[in-house]
Amino acid sequence: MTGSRTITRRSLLGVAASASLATLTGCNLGAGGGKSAGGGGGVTLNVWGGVPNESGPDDMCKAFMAEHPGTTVTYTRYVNDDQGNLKLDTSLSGGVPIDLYFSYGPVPMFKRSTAGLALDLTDKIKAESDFAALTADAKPLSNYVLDGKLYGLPAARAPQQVYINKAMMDAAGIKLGKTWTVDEFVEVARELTKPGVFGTLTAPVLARPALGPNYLYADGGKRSNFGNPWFAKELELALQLQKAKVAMDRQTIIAEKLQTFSQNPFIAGRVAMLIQSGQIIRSINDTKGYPHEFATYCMPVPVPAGTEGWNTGQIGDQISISPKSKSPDQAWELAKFWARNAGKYMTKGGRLPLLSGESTPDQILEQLLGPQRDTLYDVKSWKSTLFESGLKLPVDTIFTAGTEISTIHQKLTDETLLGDRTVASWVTEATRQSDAAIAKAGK
Amino acid sequence: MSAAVLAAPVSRQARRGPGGASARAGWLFILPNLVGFLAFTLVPLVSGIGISFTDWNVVSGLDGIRFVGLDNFAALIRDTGFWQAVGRTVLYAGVGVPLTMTGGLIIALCLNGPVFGRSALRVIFFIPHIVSSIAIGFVWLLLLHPSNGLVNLALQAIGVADPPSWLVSQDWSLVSLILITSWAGMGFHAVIFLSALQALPEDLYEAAELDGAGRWRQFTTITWPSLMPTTTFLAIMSMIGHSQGFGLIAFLTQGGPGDSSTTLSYLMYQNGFQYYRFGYAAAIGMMSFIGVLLLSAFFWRFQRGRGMYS
Repeated sequence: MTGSRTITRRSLLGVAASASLATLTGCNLGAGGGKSAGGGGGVTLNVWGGVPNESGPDDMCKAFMAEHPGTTVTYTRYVNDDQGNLKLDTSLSGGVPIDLYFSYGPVPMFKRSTAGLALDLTDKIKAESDFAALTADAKPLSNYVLDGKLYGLPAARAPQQVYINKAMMDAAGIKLGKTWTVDEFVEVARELTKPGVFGTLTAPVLARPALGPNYLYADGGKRSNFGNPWFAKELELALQLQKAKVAMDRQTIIAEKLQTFSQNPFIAGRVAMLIQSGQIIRSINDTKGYPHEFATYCMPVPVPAGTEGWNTGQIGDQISISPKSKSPDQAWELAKFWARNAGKYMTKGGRLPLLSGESTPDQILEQLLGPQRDTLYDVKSWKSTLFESGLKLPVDTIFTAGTEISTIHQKLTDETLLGDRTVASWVTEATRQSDAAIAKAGK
Repeated sequence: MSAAVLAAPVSRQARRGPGGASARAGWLFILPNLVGFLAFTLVPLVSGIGISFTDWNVVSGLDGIRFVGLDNFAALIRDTGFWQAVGRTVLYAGVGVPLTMTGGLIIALCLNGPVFGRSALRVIFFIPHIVSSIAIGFVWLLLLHPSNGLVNLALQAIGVADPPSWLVSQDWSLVSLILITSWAGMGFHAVIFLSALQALPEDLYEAAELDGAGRWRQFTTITWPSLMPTTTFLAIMSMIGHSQGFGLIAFLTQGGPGDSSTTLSYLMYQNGFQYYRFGYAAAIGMMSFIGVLLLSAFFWRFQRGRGMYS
């Protein structure tokens, strides 16, 4: 008889202990969870990242395990917000077995590497010929360098682009070239503004495209740069477009939390243009969750005339290896595989690969825009914007009090756009508060 | 009789003393609670106090903890942002606590009489207390939308030409949070007040009525003094709740616009979880704790001897 079985206290405790251990180690045992099938045998690599499993990481892990039969890869998703990052940080410093992890942006990556939670990858990156653009001495710089060392292998580029409702654009008879200036963007936004429709969700920014890398800092990072006239010009333009009802008012943006859910008014047809990075592709492709009938046209972010025209996005998805990893060599193998194959597996989650590897622009676009690309997108404009417009992604090297400065900037900008503060007062306060934060961080 | 009691032999059980079998059994029974108290109350409390004297960013692990003495407290005293947050917290609790309690008391007094559907009404008033703060926040987010929210549409319908922007206004964000928090807390206060009201002896009211005391006189001389211990308990609990209030603020305003709704608890979150200044955040927590402790002691002292049955 094998039918019935008694649950003993010991077996119950065993199950409880296993479940606790699985929880502690971040294992996701549920269906569709992090433990991708296959592999088995010797080494297990634990990866923590912010992209949902089904948007690429599971496929990436499976592909790696197929090529490395002795290795099992477990992907655990953390949400890339304050709480999620803290969870990763405490897990890393607290000894949870993590071999590889992703940081989204240089500030959290350097916070971790400064605290000794990331291996120095400088020599490893230099040893790979196809990573030549990512070395610490590459020109132009395409990777984030801290005191001459590299602690992350970037896997994605996250440029911002302008999403345009093509139906509205066609109805207005607007024809666009491959690039545009801020003045041209404003003109188009005015033409697209109709009762119940804002021409754009937000005004374009001017300081970053004009000033490029380290635009927030002056004197090599000793003080902030908010006294630079581009910041005041940027705010004045935003106020002007808001007043003319060409851009959505800040009050509604805050009330509806559209800083986070910016895709909603665009897909709902409340705004004709949206300046945003690639992750909203997931919402546009999800026609059940976000039903809409228009195609999305793509343009590069507009640049102030006569400037270098830096993009407002960044290089992203930095892969780091934990110094506590028991298999750092295998972890590096996986990191390289991830960076080289990001075009093949991660693009469907809206993440453009930094290294195209063997993927052609058409293949990347096919992945990015999904199976409904011919109805949901103007594919030609996407190809032109992402691969033919000479995108210039700035790579910052100064990050002193980065999080504090970003919070100060956002709060004061909200106050100004809500009409509670003048532009001149914004400049004074942004400078004063940021300089104080820089001084405090420098102690 | 007392002599007999005094002369009674000490039982065998008692003679076993603190190390006896029954004492061990006693320890065993309280062990789960004791472990819980140690792990989830005492250790975090002591750690919190300890961290407030350090400079620690959590990422650097335990090795990265640097003892800085009273530096965090000295910096706090010089920090205008901290004092502004103290002011907002005092306003938030100073207006929110009386408002919640008054609302709760009025509801309780109404439900204490012969009201149709009293049980159903009690449940209805209690619902906001058991619903998650995110659900409450979401509903109020829609109701207080500056242009499409029902509240402003209603205000416009009765002739208010320029209604407030509520959560999106620097002038109104804290007011909105006070109103929402008070609304959410009234049901709980009403239920507690109601149980206290129902425990009051009926004969006092009958005697007062015979002496010609009206409703208001009965309330001021019997009901209110009798409710003093309940009121003090609720005042302390509500004050602690307001000083720790975080969920609704984090969901509805994130301390903004600007800093207009950044209370002490949100400032602590911002320093700890956004800027990773855990020592500084713990110092804010300690200052907040001391403030609440002093106020609680004051309330407790104030009510002593004032309750009808105390």
